[in-house]
Amino acid sequence: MMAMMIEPGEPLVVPRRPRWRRAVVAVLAAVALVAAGCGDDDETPGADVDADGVAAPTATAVPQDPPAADPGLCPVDALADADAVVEIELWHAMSAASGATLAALVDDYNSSQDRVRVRLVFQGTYDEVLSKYIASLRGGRLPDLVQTEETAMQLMVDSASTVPAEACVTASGYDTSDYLPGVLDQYRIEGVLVTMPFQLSNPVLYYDRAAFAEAGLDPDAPPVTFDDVIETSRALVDSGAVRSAGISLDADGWIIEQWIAKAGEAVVDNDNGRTARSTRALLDSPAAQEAFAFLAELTAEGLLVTSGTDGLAKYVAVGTGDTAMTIGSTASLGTIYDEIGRFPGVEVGVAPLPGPTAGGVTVGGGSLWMMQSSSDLEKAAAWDFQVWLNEPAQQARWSMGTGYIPSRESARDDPDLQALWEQRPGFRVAFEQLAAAPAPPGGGSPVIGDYAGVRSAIELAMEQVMRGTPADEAVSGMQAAADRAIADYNRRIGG
Amino acid sequence: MLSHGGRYLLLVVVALVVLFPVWTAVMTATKPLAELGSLRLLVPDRVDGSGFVDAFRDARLGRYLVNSALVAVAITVLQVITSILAAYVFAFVPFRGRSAVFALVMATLMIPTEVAMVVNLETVQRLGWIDTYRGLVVPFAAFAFGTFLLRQAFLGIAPELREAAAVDGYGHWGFLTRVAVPLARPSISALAVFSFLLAWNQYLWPLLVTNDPDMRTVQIGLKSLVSEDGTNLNLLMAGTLLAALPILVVLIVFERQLVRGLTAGAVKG
Repeated sequence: MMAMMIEPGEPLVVPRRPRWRRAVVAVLAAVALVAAGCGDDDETPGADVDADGVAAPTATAVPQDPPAADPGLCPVDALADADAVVEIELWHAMSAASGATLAALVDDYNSSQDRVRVRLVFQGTYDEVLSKYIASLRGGRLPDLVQTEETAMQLMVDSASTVPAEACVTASGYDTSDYLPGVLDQYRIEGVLVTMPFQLSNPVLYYDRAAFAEAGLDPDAPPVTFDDVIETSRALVDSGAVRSAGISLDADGWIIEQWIAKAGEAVVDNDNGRTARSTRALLDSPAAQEAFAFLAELTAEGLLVTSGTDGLAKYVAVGTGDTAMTIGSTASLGTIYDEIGRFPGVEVGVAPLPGPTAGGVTVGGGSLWMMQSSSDLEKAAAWDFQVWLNEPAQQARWSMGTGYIPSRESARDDPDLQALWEQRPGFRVAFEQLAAAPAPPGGGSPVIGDYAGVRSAIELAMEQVMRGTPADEAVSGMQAAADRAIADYNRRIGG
Repeated sequence: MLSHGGRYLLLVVVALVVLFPVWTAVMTATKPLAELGSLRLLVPDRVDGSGFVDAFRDARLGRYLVNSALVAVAITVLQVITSILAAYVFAFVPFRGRSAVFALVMATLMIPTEVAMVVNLETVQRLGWIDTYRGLVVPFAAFAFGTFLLRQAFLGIAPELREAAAVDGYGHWGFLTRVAVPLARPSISALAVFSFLLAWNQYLWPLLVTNDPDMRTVQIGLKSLVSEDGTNLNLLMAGTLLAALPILVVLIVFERQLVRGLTAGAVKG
């Protein structure tokens, strides 16, 4: 069934290398849907691998076109000629409080001017947004903006259906000097800005200041290194300030990737896939070994409770006093303060992610993509909205409502944000951590075609180590599975 | 044997075990997270019904419930009708290659829904059925499992009844409506309940074929209350309880049919 090609005359005009790219869309549509149907919890590494034998990882780079950034792709001035309101559709994955904040921002944009109306369409989880988008490339109705996680960058570029943001930046002479260092680099592949930042996050340490004090620890000096975390956990357990362990973690592969970045290393070759398409994983590096050895030691000493794939339970464990530390996304700041902070005797503390200190955290979260299939008017409208959304005032509001990090340096001058920082210093920690982070290899987080395959390899290894498997055994299995996922993806699209 | 009282005691204990998750769901819907996870969970000291109100206001559950009800009822009715007709043919109307055709129908049960979904989505897109009830209902109008279930039920009807019906001058249609369907009522009821459950709980397909919030179903509405980075459990649980109510109603309504059907003729033998 995958042999079916897109019919001539459809809006999906692909300038170069159309054959494999269309095949990519067809294959990915099936893979993405199956993955979405399976849910997040039962992913296995390489579950989407073809049955026809497993290709050994090779070093032959798959040709990767630098995404073209011709300013002609982005007719930013078209809006001036509009004789009616231009309606654009944005597919997003923002639920709960983040969804409400996004809706409020869009309402404000719509009423702030009379040329563009943005219509928000919630499309489920990030996986489901992506599945629906990829499936709709085969002849369905497409949005004008689509929100993805940073992990979808390679897939979106390979779909050859998007307008690189670089084209719009060039066409409009957009001033990017106020963006936080690294934020735009995060969305560059081979030097081309492919998408615009929107929901930026990074991981932080959440801890209970009251439990720290009870254990005789200084609540203002949270752990910085892996060793600090182990020692702090011992002190918490030995003093009886916690019921079961020092720290609660879930099997979230993102944290391992961040620890590798903090060691100044890359997760995949070719500078994290940013100078050329990645061809193999670097998950047997000393940085990865160290991170897994850390998890193994915590586990062996009984200093860690794991909540498996449950992202909420690790926070609740801090609230109930089972543990006093956990690691999670800044996007959880609202939950932490509003829910965990209300548990009796808990005093929320937020600190930069502990771990190696040679490098820095990378930008997580994601971005908004513009579509080639949109009309000139719709493209111009989508760009206008994105420029508005990234203004410091909007970024400050977005951050206050969600815990995401403002993309702009000058957002720190926003009086409302400053008031929030005063009241809830955790919101500032994430911003400063990102602002201070040195550039990672290639400029950002890894760019991988089958990111889901690589990440589930990492998460499987995390679960193994947290259950007592020796770190080196888990790491070598992880490296092999990740290599397979990368090679299979490259083979599928390389033909 | 247990005494009368002992039997009731056992039933009460089992009922408590079964009802406990429902009770915690109700408590979760009405209490802040900080008060969960402790023994206070058992006592409704400070019941707050705002989660239910918010579920209707913020999550538009009202509209979603109506859509889910329309879609699930339509799918159930269609599946019952197509299953009865197909099963009747496979049970009572011999024709060449019948068992091969039946095997083909059964083979569709082996294909995971997700595999066919991309192709189905393409078809529905080409038909222009995105954001329509047709797009939500028609792809599920037939159900191989229902055909299988009812064929088994029809095969269990004594051949003498068929002969008697023929003597009385009934053709296929008369036999189907006067004899086969009434006798297969327990199976038909079971199929209806099962179809309704599956249709009501659908998530991925309605998500794919709708963009218009007015066309969305309750499961998608619930999903918009869940976030990896922080879920309002009160709101989520309130919404989930509301979404589960129609299933309860359907079960209660059809349970009578099921029981009545199962025991029909039991006394006379």
